[in-house]
Amino acid sequence: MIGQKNIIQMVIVSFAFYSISCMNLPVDHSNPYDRVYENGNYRIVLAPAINVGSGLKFEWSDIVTIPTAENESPDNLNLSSLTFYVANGKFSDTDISKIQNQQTLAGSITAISYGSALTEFTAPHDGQKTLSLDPSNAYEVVLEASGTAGGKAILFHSNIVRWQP
Amino acid sequence: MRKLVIIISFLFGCSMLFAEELGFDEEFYSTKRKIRITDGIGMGPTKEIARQNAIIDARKKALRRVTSTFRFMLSESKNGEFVSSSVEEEVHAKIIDKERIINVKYDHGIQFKNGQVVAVVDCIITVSFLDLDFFAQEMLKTAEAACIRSLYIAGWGQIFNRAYFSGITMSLITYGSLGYAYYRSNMIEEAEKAYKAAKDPVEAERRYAQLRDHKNVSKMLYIVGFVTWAYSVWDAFEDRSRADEVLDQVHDRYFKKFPYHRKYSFFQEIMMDMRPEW
Repeated sequence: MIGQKNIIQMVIVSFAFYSISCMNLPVDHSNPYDRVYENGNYRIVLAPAINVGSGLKFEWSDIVTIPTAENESPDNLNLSSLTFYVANGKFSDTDISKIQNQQTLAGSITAISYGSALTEFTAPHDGQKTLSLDPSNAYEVVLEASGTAGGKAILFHSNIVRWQP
Repeated sequence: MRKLVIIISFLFGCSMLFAEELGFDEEFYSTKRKIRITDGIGMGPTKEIARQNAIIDARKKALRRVTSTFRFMLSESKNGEFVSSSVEEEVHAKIIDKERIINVKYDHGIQFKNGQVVAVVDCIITVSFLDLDFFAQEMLKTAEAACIRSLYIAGWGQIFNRAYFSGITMSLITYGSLGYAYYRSNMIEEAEKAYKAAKDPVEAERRYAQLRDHKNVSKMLYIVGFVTWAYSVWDAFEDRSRADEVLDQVHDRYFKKFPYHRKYSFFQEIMMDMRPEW
């Protein structure tokens, strides 16, 4: 026999289970090849490259804080450089390790620096850039940002974008 | 994951819908029992009359036998003899099915006077009655005992309270969820390695989705498992407490000879104060 108590209990339990099913637990995007990548307090998402004939066009969205960052906002972020690093073919494991450890990339890969007068250095930080790269070759590209936030020096990278002809 | 939650909710809902609404209801608490009577004796001028008389005797014996254990509680006796014959009526004992005859014996090696035939019938008779033995056993159970059983094994308290469907369902949900959560959580490490090792955006995204799925499903099912376990402990305690009210009614009606005053434990009193008015 179904009583009022059974119905109320069932509604409570159904609601509880529904709430649990809606729970989406955050998982770190710790692989630079992921569509989005997090290795610090800030995140910059580089969109896949577009072939514009004269080169490859890259576009990135505004910089956002990762939920772990406390009392920080992209607005008080003072960028001093935005640099594209381009690898012919693939980044080496050393480069990937540097990206993951928030270290400046250097070495055999090509650095294409941005001029300091660019408006992207102040919020909002979104922008686009066409790099003079031959679209018939394969590349991997990452964007490195450095500057200060709350008086502290910061360095972070975007996700790695792969270009396959 | 949604599908999984829907299945669990459905099982849980069923266990609640099928949960017994307690209340002293004679029909509900009636027990059916098949009694084998091997000594139904009847006499008559013909075999058929003797057989019918033997069946009547077997039916009486069946009723008497099912109520024999609590005859003392309900009957009045004088000089060692029972003077009240209302036990069967008192516990609503009745034969609810046609007897199934196994064997009828007419030949006993004795010739009776006037050509009378004696039949001894061996048969199975189905009797329905209010089983006071059941209540006597139930009265000895406490809410704490049910609660502790569910604390050890989810659903055991419900089985102890004779809510078999709820008990088995809760046990299945608890251990099914925890087992599957453990299985999925064991896959997290491997999935994490695969995700970190991915050297391709498409593969990285696929591996990320797998990793997130393993983490979400395992954490969700751990929560579901432990919540169900906790619910099973609470439900066992509550169910037993509510059953106590029914048993008190039974005691007042049938066991007056035995002075009995239920003592509520400290926890039961707290729970009774906290219990919502459903």
